[in-house]
Amino acid sequence: MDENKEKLTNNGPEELSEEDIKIRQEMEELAKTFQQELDKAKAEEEELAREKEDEQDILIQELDEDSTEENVEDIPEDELCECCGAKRRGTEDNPDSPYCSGCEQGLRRYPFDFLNIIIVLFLVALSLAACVSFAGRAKLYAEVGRADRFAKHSKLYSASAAYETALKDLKDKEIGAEMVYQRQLENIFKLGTLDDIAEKKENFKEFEIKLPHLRKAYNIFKNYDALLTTQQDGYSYIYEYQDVEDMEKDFPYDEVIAKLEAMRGKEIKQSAQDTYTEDGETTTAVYKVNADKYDESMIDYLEYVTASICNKDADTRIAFLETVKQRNPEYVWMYAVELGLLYAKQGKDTSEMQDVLAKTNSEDSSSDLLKVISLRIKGEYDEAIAAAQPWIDAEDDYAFEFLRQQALCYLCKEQYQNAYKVCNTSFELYNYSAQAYYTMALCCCAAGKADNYEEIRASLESYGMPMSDEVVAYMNGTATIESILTQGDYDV
Amino acid sequence: MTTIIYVIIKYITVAGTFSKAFFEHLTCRVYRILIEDGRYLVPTEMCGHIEHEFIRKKGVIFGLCFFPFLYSLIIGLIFTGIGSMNLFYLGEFYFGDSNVPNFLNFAYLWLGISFLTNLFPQIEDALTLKELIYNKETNFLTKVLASPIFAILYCGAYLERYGITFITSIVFAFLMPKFFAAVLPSML
Repeated sequence: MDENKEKLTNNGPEELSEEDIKIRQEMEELAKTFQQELDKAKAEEEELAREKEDEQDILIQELDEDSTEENVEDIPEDELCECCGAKRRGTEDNPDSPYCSGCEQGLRRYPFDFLNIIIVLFLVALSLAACVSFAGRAKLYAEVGRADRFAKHSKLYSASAAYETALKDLKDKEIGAEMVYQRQLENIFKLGTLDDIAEKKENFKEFEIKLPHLRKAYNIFKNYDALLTTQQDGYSYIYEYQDVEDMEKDFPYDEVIAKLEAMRGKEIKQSAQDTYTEDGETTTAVYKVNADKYDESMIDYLEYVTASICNKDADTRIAFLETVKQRNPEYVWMYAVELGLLYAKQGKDTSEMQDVLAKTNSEDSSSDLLKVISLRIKGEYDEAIAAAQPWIDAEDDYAFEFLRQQALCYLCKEQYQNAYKVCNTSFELYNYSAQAYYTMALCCCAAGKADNYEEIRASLESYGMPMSDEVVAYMNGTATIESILTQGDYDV
Repeated sequence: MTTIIYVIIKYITVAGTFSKAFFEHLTCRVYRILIEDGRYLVPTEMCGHIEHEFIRKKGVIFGLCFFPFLYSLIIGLIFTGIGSMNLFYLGEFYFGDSNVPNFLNFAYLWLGISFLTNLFPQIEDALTLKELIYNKETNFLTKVLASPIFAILYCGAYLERYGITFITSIVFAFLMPKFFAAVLPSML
């Protein structure tokens, strides 16, 4: 059949044989019959469908007459409200809504759980209480902040005072402030006022001192113990020979140095914890750190002290202090001033030590004092006098020493009356040191104030102190101002 | 994995999670937004958020994103402020001289970190906000004015989705005392 069909399409009617024409006619008749049968079946089907539709319409009309609610079973599942599942989804405003109008209204006013309201109200109330508490403590925070600011700007004296005030206020309000104590400890350690460190121990709890947040405090206490123990044990070797008359000749320098050297790397004997008994009840101190080993820098420093006692040359002493500097550059309080003075007396540049001192504590006058002494030793007296003046004008705690240095400069400049006047001011400010008495005595001699010199001598005698060799030599005429102040120790 | 981390962090910071969801719920009520799921602590990506209808108004989506953020931020800052100042700055770990830990300070800090961890809207809301604000119909001035807060909300939504806001709020709690220490002495 397919072959015939191909023939029909490929070849024209002219080429068809009789047999082909016969087949074609038969097929056309067959197609006609099929088409008639199909049309008939379609017509019957349409008739049936129309009859069914009419029946359904009648049913729905009957239901509508009885009730406005739709029967759930009659709504397809995918058209039910997602919330209640009992009504047809969609609202007037939003026919595509997955909820019925009733549920949509409800979900727009989704109810709060009573417990949730209580919890949130509690949290809000707690935040208000926290706010009030913060406001109440704001002044304390500001006090501590001020101290921190001073410390940040290397104003260690102001920082120390501000920390003490803040800590007192915190203690009055029974607020524990371990982090503030830790920062104050750092400040104290930078200042080198080691005695104050011991007082702070009681503010830390033994069980938490080794925890990371208090690690700095722990290290400071440990260093403090090592420094203190080294100092005590080291000085005990030096004090053994305190009765030696001529330190330069008779002091066993090598022996003491050997003993001090033997302390290096040696373990410290652990001391018992502090205990005290009250009403028969023994209490152990809250906290005590025991250092393991002696502090190497303190040993170096004690060696420097020994060398100074024995009047060893400046290079030897400088070597000890430079070792301290290399070992612990942060121990500025231990080496900087004395190393600077030794440099000045050696005619070396002191600017490095001045910078270190100023950088560590900008409120410390030691840096400028070193500068003044250095200038005086170099013979730049006018510059030295000018450099001292700001600290005198500022009425610094060490103004007396700047005045004394000015007096020494005036002596060198042979302005003896000025020297006496300035030295007298210094003496009135602070006259508790032998050096103050000696300088005053020298100025009196130079300015021809014999009566005042006698007063000074009598005062010294009353304290059981002899007049300095330099002043006696000047009085005897065996030394000059120049020989006293421009050679040797460069001072009285 | 991301969802697990997200849910764990949400439960660690449950106070903030709960409150954020509550504030979202409250805002939805105010704006009459249809809420599809009102559970606050459901262990899915919706933990700490309210599932609501798609919003087509820019004012509404901005309010829904911004106001819960603002409430949580204010309360979070208060709690973190006092918690971090007392613990990190002063070191008030115990009541007075006793060995009893100062639970209140630790609670303040935890609450603060919790609130700050749960500040931001869900990503879908942030995207809707983006679509509604940054389109041709919105005027240029509105776009400019909304840009800082939009940037915070949009970036925050993504950070919160991956649990990074937990880390940022802890870092913030550590840095907060530095801010107060710098500002308070000048003010008082």
